[in-house]
Order: sequence, then C-alpha cells, then structure tokens
Amino acid sequence: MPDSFEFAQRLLPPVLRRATAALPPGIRARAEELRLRMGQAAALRLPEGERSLGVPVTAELLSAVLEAATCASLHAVEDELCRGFVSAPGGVRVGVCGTAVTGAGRGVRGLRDVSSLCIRIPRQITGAGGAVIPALRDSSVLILSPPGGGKTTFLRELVRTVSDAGVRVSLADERGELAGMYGGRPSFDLGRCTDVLTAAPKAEAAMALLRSMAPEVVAMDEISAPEDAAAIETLLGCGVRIFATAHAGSGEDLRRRPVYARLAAEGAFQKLVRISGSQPRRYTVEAL
Amino acid sequence: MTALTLRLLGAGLLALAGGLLGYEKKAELKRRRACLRQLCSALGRMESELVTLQTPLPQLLARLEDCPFFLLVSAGFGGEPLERLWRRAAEVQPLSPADRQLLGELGALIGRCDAQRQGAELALVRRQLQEHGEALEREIADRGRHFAGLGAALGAMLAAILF
Repeated sequence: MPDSFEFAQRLLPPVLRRATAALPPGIRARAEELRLRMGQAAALRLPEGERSLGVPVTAELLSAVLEAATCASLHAVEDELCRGFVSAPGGVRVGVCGTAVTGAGRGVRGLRDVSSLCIRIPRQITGAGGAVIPALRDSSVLILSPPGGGKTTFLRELVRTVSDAGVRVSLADERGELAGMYGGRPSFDLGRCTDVLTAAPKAEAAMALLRSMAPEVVAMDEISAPEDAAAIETLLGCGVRIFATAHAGSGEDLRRRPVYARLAAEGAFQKLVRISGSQPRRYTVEAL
Repeated sequence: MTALTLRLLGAGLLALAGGLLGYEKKAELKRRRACLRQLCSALGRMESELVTLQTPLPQLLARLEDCPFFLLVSAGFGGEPLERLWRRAAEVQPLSPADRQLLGELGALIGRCDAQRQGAELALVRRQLQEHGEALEREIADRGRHFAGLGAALGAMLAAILF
C-alpha cells in the first residue's frame, strides 16, 4: 500500500509530482503539508518551516489538484467543501480556501475562485506519547493542542495501543483522516481490535457504532458541535469510554467554550492530555 | 470489347458510385441520429443521478458505459484532466461539428461545480441535442430516400458530360 506521502503525490499534476519525487527520502518522511497558494511557489511544510518547491501555483494547478482530490466530483463533496476541506484517499485531507458562496440563512453553500489548498499528510509515529499512554488506558480522554499540534497522531497511537491490548475500539472517522481507509483497509496501524466507520458525521457514526459494534471505547477526532457532545453523553451513559480531541491550548481555553464546558461539568472526561512544543512534542496529563 | 461498351460500363460505374455516395450520406445521417438518441438518453440519466443522488463521477460514468461517448470518457478517466478527455471523446462522435462543440463544452463544467448547476447545464445541452435530433429525423424522413437516387442521377450526369 502506498505511504501517506505517495497518496498526497497522487493528487498533484505532473509538474508538481516531479518536484516532490525529487525530494530526499528524509524530507518526504518529515513532510506535514503541501501548501499551494495562488501566485506563490508551491511549498512543503516541515516541522522547522516551509520549503519552496519552485513550482508556481496557478488557477489551473489548483483546479487539477481539486479534480484529483474529488475524483472530478465536486458535487459529491459539497458538504465537506462547505466546511472548508475535502477528504482524499489514504487519510489525506485537502483544506480549501476561496470565496465563500453564502445563502440567506443557509450559511456557506459553496466555494468559488479557489485561492489556496493545504494538502495535509497524515503520519503514524509509533510510540508518540508512549510514556503517558499507560496512565490513560482506563479513562475517557480528551486530547488538546492548537491546530497542527499532533492531536490526531497521538489519538491514533492511543487507539493502537489500547486496541492491541485487547480492548474493542470503534473509530468514528468522519474525515477519513484517522484511519485513512483505502479499499476497506486502514492506511495506518490501528490495532487488532479496532473497527472503523468512515465518512459519517461523528454523532451519527458514534450511535451506529454503539448499536452495531459493542465498543468498549469510541474514538473520534475534533469534537466541536453540540450533537457530538450529546452523542458522547449517550455513549458514557452506556458505559463506553471516549477518546477524543479538541482544538485548545489549555483546559482553561476549553472551559470557556460551551460545548466543552458542558462535558467538563458532567465529568465526561477523566483525563486531559495537553500536547505542546513541536519537535519533540511534550505530553502533559491532567485530571479533569 | 468495343469502345461503346467501355463507355457504357464507365457511365454505369459512375452512376453506381453516385448512388453509393447517396446511400453513404443517408447512413451517416442515421448514425448521427442514433448517436444523438444515445447521448440524450445518457445525459438525461446523468442529470438525474447528479441532481438526486450526487453520485461521484467514476461510478456515474461506469453506469453510462452503454453509450459509446461515456464508454470513452470512462476508459480514460483519471489519466488526464477530465475537460481534455471529455472534449477529445466528443470530437470523435459521429455528430455535426456544432453538436460536437456543444457536447465538448460541457467538459469545462462537469465535476467542477455543484450538482444543481451541472444538472441545469446538462438539461440545456440535452434539450438542444434533442432538437437537433428531431430536425435530423425530419431530414431523414423527407430526403433520406432521395439521397441514393440523387447520387445515381449525379453520377449519370457526370458520365454524360464526360462521354
């Protein structure tokens, strides 16, 4: 099976594919994102910063990437696009910027004049946060970090470790980023007892998994909506533990947001993992 | 064989060639009519699937492979930009240049915007192709049977002028 970088490369037009193919393996292995901004040179984001690929980004290039990411089916990913991203095979996620099309009372209905794309390359780092994982096995865990801080990577590792210990884990992978399902198989090692439901909204996926897979743990990335919180409450009421992530710098940040404040007040999560720093990352466990 | 016999034979062959050209013209019109019918039917199904089910294009193309145009697009899908592929497939259809252009221009839109807009464009092109198909139908009914005779007559006239 191709690795994540190869999945990302498949979305690129030939000129950019050649530029990325010429990169040394060490660089490819550390690449986090491909940034394509109209009028600028395409760039690869590494932990230490961006590195230019020397290929100018044009409207045609952006259009070609979007066509490859959507299998020429923008109509089939309208909902995702309205939320600013498109999921591509292999757990690759393409963030999209442009001019939003809004409708009266209907929020964003679409995007036109695409100006930037961010191709996110998922990584499995076996052993990431390994030192704190034993302390989390029997708890419901909320993982916090700012965007790009390594939440998804740590959640994946937590799922793998717990699942390999024989715990039934169900993954509600709405954006396909956690598991990177491809042809019915995950692109990442998620452990031997993990079931994955991809592309369904998290709250609906969680309920479906509860009914069908008898999970001991349900894992989901980036809870943010009241429906997600309601699903978590239902799962907890059924004796299921939760592993989830949220964008926040600290527990205080979190408590200021109504969705999380409600979950915190109800004691939904026993442990909070705060990820800080870039290389190496620091994992701090707090009791909630 | 006398010179007269040879001349008569030549004249006969010219008339026959003219007649065959007339038949070929009629057959070409029938091929265009069949192609337009298949296209209109496939475009209608495509419109319906896009608008109601928002089916991704790879699956949609596979379902439309009974139409030679979509078979070509489906076979080349993913190998090059869809717009180029779509236009190239349109160029080899047995259609008039205007119809080829009409069909080819759809390639700039397919898969690149929301389902409603694609559906509206598909419906517009389908209606236009349908009208052209109906006009062709009338042409075949009115003039189709005359083509062979006209061709043979032109051949005979040419023979008379030459000999």
